[in-house]
Formats: sequence, C-alpha cells, structure tokens
Amino acid sequence: MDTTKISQFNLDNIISFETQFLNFTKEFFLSDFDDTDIVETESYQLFTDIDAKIINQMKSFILTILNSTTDGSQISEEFSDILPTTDQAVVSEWVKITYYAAVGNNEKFVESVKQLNLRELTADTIKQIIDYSLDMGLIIMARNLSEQGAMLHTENDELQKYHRILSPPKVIRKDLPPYPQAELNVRWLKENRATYQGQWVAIKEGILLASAPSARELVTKFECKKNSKILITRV
Amino acid sequence: MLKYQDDRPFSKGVISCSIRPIHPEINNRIFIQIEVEDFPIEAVLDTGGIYCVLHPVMAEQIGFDQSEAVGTHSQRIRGFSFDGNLFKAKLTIQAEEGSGLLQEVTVFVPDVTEDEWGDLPSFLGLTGCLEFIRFAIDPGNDQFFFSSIGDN
Repeated sequence: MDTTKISQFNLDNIISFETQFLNFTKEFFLSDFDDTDIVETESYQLFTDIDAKIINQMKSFILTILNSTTDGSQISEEFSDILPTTDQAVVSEWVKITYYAAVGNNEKFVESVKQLNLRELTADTIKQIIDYSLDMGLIIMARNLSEQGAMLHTENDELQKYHRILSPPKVIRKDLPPYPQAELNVRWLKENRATYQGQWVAIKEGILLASAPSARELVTKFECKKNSKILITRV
Repeated sequence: MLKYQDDRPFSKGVISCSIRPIHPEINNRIFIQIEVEDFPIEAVLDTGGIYCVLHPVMAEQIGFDQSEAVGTHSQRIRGFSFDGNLFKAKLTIQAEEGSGLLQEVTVFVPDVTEDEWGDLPSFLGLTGCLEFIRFAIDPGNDQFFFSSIGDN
C-alpha cells in the first residue's frame, strides 16, 4: 500500500470517521481516474465494486497506524465501533448507508438499511442509523429502528431513550372536563387583530394582560406560568 | 358534536380555532389553543408537518431538561432547516364542549434564537403528534372537532 496516503490521514482533524474513511478509500482507489469523467454516483459505484475484503484490510492497516499514537488508540476504539463487524456484506452496506445519508438519497438509504441484520449491529451503530434517518426526515424508519434497537439492546440507555421519544403518540386521558372560557381568547384575537397585529400578547379568558413586540420581551416583563390558563401567542 | 351516519361519534370534543394569517403573510392558517406541559400556547395545524414544533421562547418557558433529549437533529420547517432536540412531552387539547384530550407526543425544540426563528409560530404536525387524533374543521364557525381514534 502507498504509505504516503496513509500519512495524510490527519489524526488532529478527524471529525467524522465515516466521512474520512470514505473519502480516504475513494481517493486511494480512484486516483487513477480522471475526476471529470466521474460523477458522484459513478465513482461510488466503482467504490462499491471493490472487494469489501480490501476495505477490511485497509481498516486494519489504519487501525494499526492509529494505535501507534497516544491519541489514536482512543480514536481507534471509536473507529472500530463505527464499522460494526468484519463481515464483508455488513461493511459494504454500512459504507453505502453512510454515503447515501451524506448525499441525501433517501431511496437508496432505505434500501441499504433494509439489507442489514440489526442483530449483528452494536447499539451505537443502530443509534447512528437512527440519527441519519431523523436527519433525512425518515421518521417512521427512525421510529421502527428505535423500537427494534431498544428490544435488542435492553441495557443501552441511549437506545431506550430514543425508543421512548420516537414512539408513537399515546393518549393518556380522553375525558378532560370542558373549559368553555377558551372561546373568549379566540374572540379577543379576532376582535383585536387589527390593533395588535404582529404583537405578542398574554391573554386569559378574553382579557389582555400584557403585550410586547417580541416573545422575549413579553416573557421578560410578564411572568408566564404553567397551569395558569394564560395564553401566550402572537397576533 | 360530529357523528358518523350510523350515529357513532366522530368527535367527542370541540374547541374554537382562530383562522388567520401568520403575520405578515396573507394566507390563512388554523391556530389551535393547546397546552404543552400545562403551558398554554397557540400552534398552527400543519398536517404536512411532523411532531409538535415549539417556538424557541415558548420552549424555554416550558423548560425542557436537555438530558432527556435525543441528540441534535435537523428539521425542515416551512422550507428552512433548523437544528434542535427531540423530547417527549404532554400535550393537552382542551375542549370548550365535550371532552378534552391529554397525549404524550414527540416535540421538536429548535436550537435557535427568536430572531433566527423569525415570525414562525409553533406547529402541530401529524406524524408524531396528531396521528391518532380524528379531527375536522368548521371554518364557518371557527371550530375544531376532535377525538382519539380509539373513541368509538
């Protein structure tokens, strides 16, 4: 292997191992190709055609370099965790998942995630995929992954939290007594819209308590409390 | 209350809604009075949206515990991308007539200042928030009819 390229792997500037790893391997294998002839997807296709065994060998080599430095041995633990297994198929899918998340290709991302067997993944890796899903707006996928992840990793507090927060809405009570006075606030907003348009107001049962040009100013001059029935809104 | 043809109730609660623009826009939106963690606010009904999305100053007043959040994620809201945190929170839809609802929903709290948030209000999205609530609007009488989908 060309060790000059390895030495360019700057330990001090590591922000994202996935991105660094992907960029490094793309550069390593595609340096013979004219960049103008390759679009992102084509270069990625070439990359995915590379035997995943080679990727694993590179990973081992990079880990060796990392473990030889004081900072690197800590970083290498995190790096090992990001590529969750030495199984060739999983490594290949993980690289795809990271790439498709980075370029915002929802369809391919979903396809790649479906190829994974979650039982083979660490809690941190499942969490990473959930994070990608959330950032891509794939809420239901994130929800399903968090549920499955929480079942597989009952000891992992973070995954349990993800599952709790992303789980579907739950009706706790459907028999709250009526509050007819709420209508008075709507009436006040209708009647006073022209006068207070754009202003933030605090109103209770149709009575104006305070107004201000911004929410910040309103809450600074008027103490807003829970259970007060004082509605804070912008007209 | 609204009913199905076979007399089963469609809604069990009704509340007045305010149909007005988000100033300074001119297109009307449907504002509903709700309570998040017992804190009364108004939120715009956004059936294309996800979660209950809170105005940052309102979220600050409610006082979410950051240790209860999951990560920092980005959310597209009305064409803009905002970073923020996700929490689970109580959401109450009061009824002026009939029965109100208390739910636990996912809430997005944007990590921005009021200036960065601009004129956007709070939002009530479908997925993660209203997805199990049956609702209907009567714009002629400014009314929002609702019930839980398990309610008949």
